[in-house]
Amino acid sequence: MKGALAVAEDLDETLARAQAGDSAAFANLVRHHQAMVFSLALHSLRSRPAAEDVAQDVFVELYRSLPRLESAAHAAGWLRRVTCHRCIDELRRPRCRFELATGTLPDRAEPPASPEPFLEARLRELVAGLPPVPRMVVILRYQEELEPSDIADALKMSINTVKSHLRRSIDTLRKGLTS
Amino acid sequence: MNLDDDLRRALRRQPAPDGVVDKVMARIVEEAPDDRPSPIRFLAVAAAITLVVAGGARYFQHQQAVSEAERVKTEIRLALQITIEKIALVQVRLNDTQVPLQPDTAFEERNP
Repeated sequence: MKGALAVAEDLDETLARAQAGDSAAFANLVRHHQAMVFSLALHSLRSRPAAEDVAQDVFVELYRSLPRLESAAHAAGWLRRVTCHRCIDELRRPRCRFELATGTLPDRAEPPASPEPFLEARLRELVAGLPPVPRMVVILRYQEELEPSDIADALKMSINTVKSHLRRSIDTLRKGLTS
Repeated sequence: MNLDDDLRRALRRQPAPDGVVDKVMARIVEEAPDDRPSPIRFLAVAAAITLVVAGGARYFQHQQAVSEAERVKTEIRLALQITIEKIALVQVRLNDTQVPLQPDTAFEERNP
């Protein structure tokens, strides 16, 4: 707990330095948040190049929005929200170029991180089959471990809507696994 | 099978590809506005200022000519009005002096 507090204070300081024009501090912010942003985009868009494009766009947007950010926690929430909305916009485009079957294959150099890679791949595939908004709700819930109230805040919807999306999505995923 | 745990594992964070930070920083540098005035922008601003000044001077000259014409018109109108009044006065005087000749009936009676 004390470690987390120290990290938060460090991040606040890093943000303050980035706001003062320190590009190395901004690079540290990107380094700290890149896995979160990239993974949100990767799990929703199912394409590594597309996820990287979105991540870059979001961080460039973060740079432009630095003066408006009040704290490191605010910056993290901002990144989460902007990434989700960018992904939903991409998924709603008529011609979504990111739906590639091989999109979430891990890099060859990565060792298998799970005892059940096939189940995980199937789950990711089923999540990718959900409509854009419920898909983001599920990703925020299970990737970022956010509570429904935080998801509601990130996606600008009511908590009841979030809970409803979660319930229906879990049902769909469960049915998909058993069929 | 616990679906929640399986989903957590399936959707765990993935490391970002190498080079994201460098690419982001390069884009920021690329997109940063250049503070130095470019020659084209300088020329455009100079041309715009010249146009505005020349147009303003031309408009001022035009306005001067219009007001001069108005002044001359007013003076001519006044002069004409004065002339008309004078002519009218002369006509009245002429009318007053031209007493019509009445036939002298007494003379005609004396000298038939």
